[in-house]
Amino acid sequence: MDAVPDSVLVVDDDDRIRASLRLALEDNGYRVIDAADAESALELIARDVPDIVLLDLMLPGIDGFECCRRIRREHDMPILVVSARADSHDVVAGLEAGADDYIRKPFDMPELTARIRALRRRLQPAAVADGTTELQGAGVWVAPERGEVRVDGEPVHLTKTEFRLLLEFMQHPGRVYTREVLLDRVWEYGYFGDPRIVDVHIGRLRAKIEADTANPTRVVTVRGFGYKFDA
Amino acid sequence: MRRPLRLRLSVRLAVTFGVGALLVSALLASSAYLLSRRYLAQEQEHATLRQAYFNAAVVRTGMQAQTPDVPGLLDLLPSGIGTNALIEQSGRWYSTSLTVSRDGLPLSVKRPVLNGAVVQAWIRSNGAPALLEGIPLPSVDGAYFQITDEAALARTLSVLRAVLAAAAGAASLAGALVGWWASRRLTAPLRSVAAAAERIAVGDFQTSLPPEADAELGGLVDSFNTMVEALKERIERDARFAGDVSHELRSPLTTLSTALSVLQGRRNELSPRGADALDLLSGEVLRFQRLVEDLLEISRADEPGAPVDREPIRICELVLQVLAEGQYGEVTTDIDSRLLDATVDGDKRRLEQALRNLLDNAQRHGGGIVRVAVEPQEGAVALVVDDMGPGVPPADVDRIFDRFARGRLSRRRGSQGGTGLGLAIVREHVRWHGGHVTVRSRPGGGARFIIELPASGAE
Repeated sequence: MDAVPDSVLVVDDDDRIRASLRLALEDNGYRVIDAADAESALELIARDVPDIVLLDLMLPGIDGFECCRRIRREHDMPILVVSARADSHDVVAGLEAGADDYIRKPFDMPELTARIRALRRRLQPAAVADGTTELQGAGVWVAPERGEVRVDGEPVHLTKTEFRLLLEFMQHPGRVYTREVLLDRVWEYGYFGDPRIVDVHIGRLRAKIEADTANPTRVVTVRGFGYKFDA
Repeated sequence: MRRPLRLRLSVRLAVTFGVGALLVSALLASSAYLLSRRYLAQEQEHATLRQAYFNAAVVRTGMQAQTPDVPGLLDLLPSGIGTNALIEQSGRWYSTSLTVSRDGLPLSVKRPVLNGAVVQAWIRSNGAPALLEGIPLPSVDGAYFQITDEAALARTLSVLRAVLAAAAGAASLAGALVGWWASRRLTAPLRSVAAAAERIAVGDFQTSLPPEADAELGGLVDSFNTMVEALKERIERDARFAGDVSHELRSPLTTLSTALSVLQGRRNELSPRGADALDLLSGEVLRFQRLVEDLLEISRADEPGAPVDREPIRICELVLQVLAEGQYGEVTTDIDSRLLDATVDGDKRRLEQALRNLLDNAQRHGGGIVRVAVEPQEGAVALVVDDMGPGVPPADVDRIFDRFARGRLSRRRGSQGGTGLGLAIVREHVRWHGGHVTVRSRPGGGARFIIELPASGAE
């Protein structure tokens, strides 16, 4: 752990949940700031950018989805959506609004801290095994350590998770990844994650690096298996 | 369900209609027959009587001659075929035919005629009906008798009888057919109601009956559809309620488990008694949490909900993956080599959970998992989980998949706290995939749970 503790912004309208999360996260060594609604969360972020956002989707006023989109306009820090609603539409909608991952209430604290740690690791500059500083393929250029991406020469801005996903693909062009393997390698959850997270992120990544998202040529679907990067 | 001694409604209606038609047509036929017979007989009686008077007059005239030649007179009579005449004069009898003699005349006719009365009567002559007229001839001290054979009339009548009987038979057959047709027509909506009710009984609430044009049957169909709608709403409301309740429990549970984790992190600051209490609390909160999860899962399964994208799922991979994730120890896995690439169209999460619940059940209540197998079936893939427990008593086989069935079953209640919803969730998820789950006794003891799923891909 760094000398300066990571800061986690907790956005939840339930006072008791905020209070208990503050206790638990502080015990785990995080600095916690909290907000009861989206407006004050956005204000807080403007003043003090947190390392990670823990965002409840059901908020009074501006809802969690919109809040997520507004944060994404300016920041690429990991956002972990806390979904009180169980149905998958909310989960997918939350991910499409720009969240990196979701966790369902009620959650186990060890599970939450495991996810936060996994998200936290994506904040570090990506390390490529053989020390390569540049990767290239299919018109995509990536500088892992600087976190830069160019598609056909144009710089593209990716979130931390999207960047990790692209990097994983580009390190092994042609390799077919199942969703589970991607969850394991990019999200670092082993088999515990929800494969839909992968699908939504693939969709977002395609929107940024494909000329035509309906007919992707770089990140292609292998039906019944998963995805691969066509260099 | 079917009462064996009662005839089916359609048969009963057909019989009723047939018997009714038979009664009516028999009544009509017999009255037609009787009327015709009476009319024909009267016609015949008039004709022969006239003939008899005429003949009697001829005979009288002949006998009033100086030297009456009675046998000659008989020959003179204009007799048709089958008409025989007898003449009596002063106790002497003369006949036109050898077959007809005075002995053939019944006393009841002979006596009144000889006493001076005109008599006409139906008799039987040589086994056939015949008309007998007797006309006294007092002026010559004699009498004239005439016997007309009426076999032709009898034949006509018997033909008429046969025709009428056939018509009555045909009418009753037609009546029975109409009855059968009417009952089919009448019971068709009943049958479709019964079929629909059966579909509803197995949980298909999309069932509704097509509208019926007829006002009375339409009433039945309408009220049935209304009932289905009400039932569906009610079930959905109940499901929503369970979902809403569980949902409301999420926030307090989140606070509880988060706060508990803080306490667990500071366990060493607690006294031993405090730590024991904390452990109890943690265990129960965990169980509570699982129950809420399961309740939400099952109330979600109840919701008609939006269609989830189905994708081909490689079933063997899924089985191995679920086994690898869980802590099930050494488990024998039998995978039919033909099924290595078999896929099922479905939702991976639900399938995983269904299988996981079965495995957890085998471990928790079945004394451990003996064997997990993937076996081919006709158009389907079967996932088999064998345990080494006491097996499932036949009485519980149907109920074991019910929600919270555990308490009502004769099975021993596990102390390791399942939620009582695990197997119900298995059934819901398997049903969602168009398959079904069953339990039976395993050869060699223990229970065998089988999930059958319709296969989609390569067999």
